[in-house]
Amino acid sequence: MKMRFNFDSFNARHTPEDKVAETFIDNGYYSRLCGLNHTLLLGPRGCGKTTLLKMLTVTARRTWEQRNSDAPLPDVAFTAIYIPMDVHFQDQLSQIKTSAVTDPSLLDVVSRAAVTISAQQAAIESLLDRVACEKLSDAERESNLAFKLINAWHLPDDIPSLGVVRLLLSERLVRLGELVGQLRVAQMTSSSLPDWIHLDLLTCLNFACDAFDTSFGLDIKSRWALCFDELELAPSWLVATLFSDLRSSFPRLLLKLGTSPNPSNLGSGTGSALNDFDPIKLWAPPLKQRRKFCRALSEQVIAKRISTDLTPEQLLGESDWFGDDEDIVPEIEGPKRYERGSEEWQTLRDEAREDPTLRSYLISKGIKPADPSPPAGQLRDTVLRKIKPLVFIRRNFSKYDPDTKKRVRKPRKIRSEFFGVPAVFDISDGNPRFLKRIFEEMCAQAGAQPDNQTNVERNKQSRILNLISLQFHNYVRGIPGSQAKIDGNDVYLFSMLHSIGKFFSTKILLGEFSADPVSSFLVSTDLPPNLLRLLEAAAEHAAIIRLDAAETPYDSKLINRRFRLTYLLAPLCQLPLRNYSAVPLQTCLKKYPPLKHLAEKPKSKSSTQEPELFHS
Amino acid sequence: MTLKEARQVPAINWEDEKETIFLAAAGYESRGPHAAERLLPKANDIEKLTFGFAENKAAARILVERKFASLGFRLIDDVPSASGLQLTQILSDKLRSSSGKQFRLIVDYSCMTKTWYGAIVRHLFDIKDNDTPIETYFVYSPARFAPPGPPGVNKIAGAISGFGHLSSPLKPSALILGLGYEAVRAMGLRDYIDPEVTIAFYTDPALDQKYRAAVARNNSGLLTTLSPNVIFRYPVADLDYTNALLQNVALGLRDQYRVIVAPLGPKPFCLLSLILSAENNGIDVWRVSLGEEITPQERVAAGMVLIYRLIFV
Repeated sequence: MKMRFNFDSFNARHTPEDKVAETFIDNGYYSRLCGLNHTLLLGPRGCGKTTLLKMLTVTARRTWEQRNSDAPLPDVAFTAIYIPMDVHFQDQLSQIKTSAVTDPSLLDVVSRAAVTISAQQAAIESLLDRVACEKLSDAERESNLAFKLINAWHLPDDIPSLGVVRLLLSERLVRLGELVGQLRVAQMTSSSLPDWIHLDLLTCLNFACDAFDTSFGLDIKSRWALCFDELELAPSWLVATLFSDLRSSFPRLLLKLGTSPNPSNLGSGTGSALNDFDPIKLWAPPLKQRRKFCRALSEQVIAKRISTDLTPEQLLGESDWFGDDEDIVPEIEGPKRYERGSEEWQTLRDEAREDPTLRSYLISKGIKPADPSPPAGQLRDTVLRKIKPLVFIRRNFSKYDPDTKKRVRKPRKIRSEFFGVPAVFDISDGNPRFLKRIFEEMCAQAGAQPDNQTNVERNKQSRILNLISLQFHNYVRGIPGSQAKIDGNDVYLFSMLHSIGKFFSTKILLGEFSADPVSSFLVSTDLPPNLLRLLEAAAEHAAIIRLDAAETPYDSKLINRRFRLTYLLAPLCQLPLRNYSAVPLQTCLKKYPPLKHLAEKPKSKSSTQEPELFHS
Repeated sequence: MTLKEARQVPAINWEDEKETIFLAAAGYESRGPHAAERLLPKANDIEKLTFGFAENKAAARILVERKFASLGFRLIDDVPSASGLQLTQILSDKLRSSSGKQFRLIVDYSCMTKTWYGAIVRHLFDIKDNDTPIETYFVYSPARFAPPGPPGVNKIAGAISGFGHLSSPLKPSALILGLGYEAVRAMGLRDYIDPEVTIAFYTDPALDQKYRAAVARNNSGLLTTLSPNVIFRYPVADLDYTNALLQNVALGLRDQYRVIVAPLGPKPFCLLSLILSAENNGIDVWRVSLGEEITPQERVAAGMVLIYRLIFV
């Protein structure tokens, strides 16, 4: 089976604001972001930060209002300036630092100038959008504004229009690039640099806002929001500037910052400023909120790829075995869920017949293994609903061997694996990029079927999910910097995560039945710094999901936090789509050769051996 | 200096009397001295230098160093693989001492790191005060096919020093991948950069078709996600054709995109990428590597030598 899409082919960064608005689905956080306060939008790659920030812009909001007059967006009392960062720009800034010059402070000046110019360009785009959307078009006023900007930003005299200012800024960036080239080969001093290179970023942006409101006769006290996206890639001086200078000097500017869950640059210089921020965490949203968002997004993909009449359930069918089932409507006909004769009842009975540890558990809860109907209302929720995904996943991926009196993993051929709407929603972890990826593949598979069949068979769904799980594993493998030397051993993030997954699945599938097995880990204070760095990378790329709430002020450190593997790795690692207890990370790594010494004292010998991947 | 001419030539022109320096790398690959053996005239007063890596001092290097010594090369040892500074300093000194004379530079980049020959290319473009043209030959000995090792992880990813330009992040990125035969690497880089547009180049025909097959096999996960019209095949032995193709694609993208070329495959493609980037603003060249974790692998010369001549004025 060939996969047609990759993880990053669905990125709002590449999409113009009006197009973002055309497909926007609120994940439940947009109204908070619209508040008249500083906001920290936290989440891994692909979780929708860029979409949310772009939806604050004038163009996006106008497009939405034109298309959805019956569903107005929450009001915003500010004008948003969307300012992107990315790994390419980050690398270009770091390249400046490799220039061999006698005065290293020059490099810092150049780096600041590069960021300032790109922010000025972003501001001009916002001003132009506002002029167009609000029909403020007035040649004299625009000329007046452009004239002010040309003067204040030390641009060369030219025809005063915003379009020309945009062009002059592009030219300035080229000049700056040439200057970097000159720094590489010639001795230069601060005095030989052009004066515009020392312009201050926030002063420039604040001036643009003032000049705009003044020129068009608007309220000069109205607020503007600087929406910095992918702030984790920004130089640390920028983060420090935003947090330290903004509050004291520029009261009309708001910050809407999109960043990864554990940005390493957020600690420096932020101080007490973080107290002023509303932290919105975009990972692991509540189940109902997540499924509602997933449903809307999957319907959008299906409508685009197949038909507006087809529901996710018609495409993939139902399955309520894998995780929580509280919002799944049972079929009307047949016995009620968990009652005698139901699918749940039969599965529990069959499994209890084979598995003595499940039998013992049911007896301890006052449930007859031969007739596991819920004897009282409370037991259904406290016991049966809780154990259902565990019973199913044990039955799905492992079996009791009466000869050895142990549980063993099932061969791949006789497993049914993951399928159906709720499972697919949950496997995506509510991450829109992952979910789109899965549904695009499912729709492509449906399109390839004979007789215009639109439902994707369970085994094909399972194969797609397994392949996507494997592809994500390879994606993690390809992340630069996902390898570290720890206590003399080579540690690879992808294999470490796999080992953690194997630890959990061994406990859940092959151990004694427990209604509360381990499926998450705690990060303790005594872990090596390089291991923490790997975990930061894992969180940034949504490979691990933080389970505790984002507190105020937000603390980006991983220490004492609880994490689980992304559900996207559940098919590969054979894990349930539900959270259970946590153990220290060291415990999960005791069979991972490069780090097993963390659980076993004294230290083991140096090893570069990779653990074996799953055999099935 | 300005690049006046760049083209593939069948041989080095020894006819004109010129001050000449030959730079090569002494690694663990036995193909290291092959181009020098093939190309150097028997009697010569050429200054010949070979640079030994500070890392990965495999036993096989002794044989390579002996061979270079027998050809009259002086060894400059312990040069860090991630820095081309020593090479450019030597080149700079040589150019200064040869001021006013006709000058010929031969660089055998077969065993050099991208950083080393990148530094030389960058240096040639950065020279400001040279009053005579520099005739430069970049020579390359292709190796016989050897299967790729197990996939590693991408440790370092970023522009080669001197080949990253400043450009606005408001403009989207386009990634041109020169595919190599190692699995995961290209896909990992694409996922990391997350460009709006990805274009793949791979060598077909290759010098050995087993190489082409390995490239296709180990990049199948990537290639299936790309439209056929963004997959370009190039004949690795035809540098002029490859250069024209790469230039057309990269320069065609430059107005709309910040272009990154990531040459993960044969070195001649990387050389062409570096020259393209040095000549044109807005085209960066990235490297992806395992850092110092490279496992030494023998590479035996296939026999031919590819020669690319650049005239700087």
